[in-house]
Amino acid sequence: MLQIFSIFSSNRNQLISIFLYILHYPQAANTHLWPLPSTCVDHHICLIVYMKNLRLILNFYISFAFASTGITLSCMYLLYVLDFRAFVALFWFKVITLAGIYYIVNIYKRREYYYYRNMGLSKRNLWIPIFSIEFLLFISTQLFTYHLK
Amino acid sequence: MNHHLEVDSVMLNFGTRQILQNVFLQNRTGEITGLVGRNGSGKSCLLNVIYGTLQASDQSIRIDQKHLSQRDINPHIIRYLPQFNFIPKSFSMQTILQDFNINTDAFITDFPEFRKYYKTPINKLSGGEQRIIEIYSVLASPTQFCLLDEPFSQVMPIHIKTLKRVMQREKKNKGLIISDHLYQHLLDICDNITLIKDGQTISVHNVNDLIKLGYLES
Repeated sequence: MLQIFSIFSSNRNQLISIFLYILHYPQAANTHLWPLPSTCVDHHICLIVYMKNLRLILNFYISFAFASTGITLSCMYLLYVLDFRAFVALFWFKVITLAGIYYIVNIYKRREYYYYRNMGLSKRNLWIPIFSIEFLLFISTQLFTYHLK
Repeated sequence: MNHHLEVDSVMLNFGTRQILQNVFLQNRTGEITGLVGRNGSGKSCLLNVIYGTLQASDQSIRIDQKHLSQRDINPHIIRYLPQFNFIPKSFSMQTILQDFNINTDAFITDFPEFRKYYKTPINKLSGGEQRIIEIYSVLASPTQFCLLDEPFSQVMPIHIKTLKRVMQREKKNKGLIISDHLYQHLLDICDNITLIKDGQTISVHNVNDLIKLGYLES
């Protein structure tokens, strides 16, 4: 166990970089950050860039997080009130509402995409992590509600 | 390091309407290229094609003889200033300058009146002030080429003068392509000017050329 921990500690920066790379691979592939950095200085730069990207994605997400979180919580309540058989219907409800949010954001925030693109974040780079977090949050809240019931 | 941007064979059409055909444009580090043309002539479209936000039916964009695809474009290579306000309204001047890797002191030296806005959200500033921050952010950021779409619009004359000075300074490290209707400013600072007419690019040198080609009235 101690050995596993020491391996993890020695490769901690590498693991963080790999995780962040998975989260945000297209920009890394396009910059000097790919292949993955080998020195401590590179790690530091890499982390600063990725933390900046995470902040930008989060900032973009916050602008409509209230609506999407509200929908997730409504689904949670509906699953609690109804039976687990409602899960499929709720899942599609979540998919459709998320598609609606995507459509509305694309209209109202289309100009802001240029800011994020100037930071190296394309529309795809913004939406893939957001969709992933949304569905992860949806599934985990649904499972939590199921166990609660 | 010096870089060379070449754009040619751009064919762009919206339905049956041909916007650009056989465009040729080039820019190098240390050069300011001006782009003029009537409304709807395709200036912004051309900048969007270069930046990769608009796909032409045919295009060839090269940097240092290497073909540049849409996926290759990143902030280290090209940055783009659209003709409208594009910065999220909740961002402060401090955040924006940090995001674009710009030295705040240098900005304050060029525009001292912005010192008081350091932590103010950009939506609290006037349209012209927002535009100054946007232009400066793109212009002074570390990159190889800057595409500026109508940078002089909405900006008051005294700031235009400062911006022109910043452009002259920044061109030492990068190439600038500027599209604007305020042709007199372009004639002042540009090393070469290209007019887009009937979807084609024509090199111009002075006001007489612009008159001859029908961009200006005699």
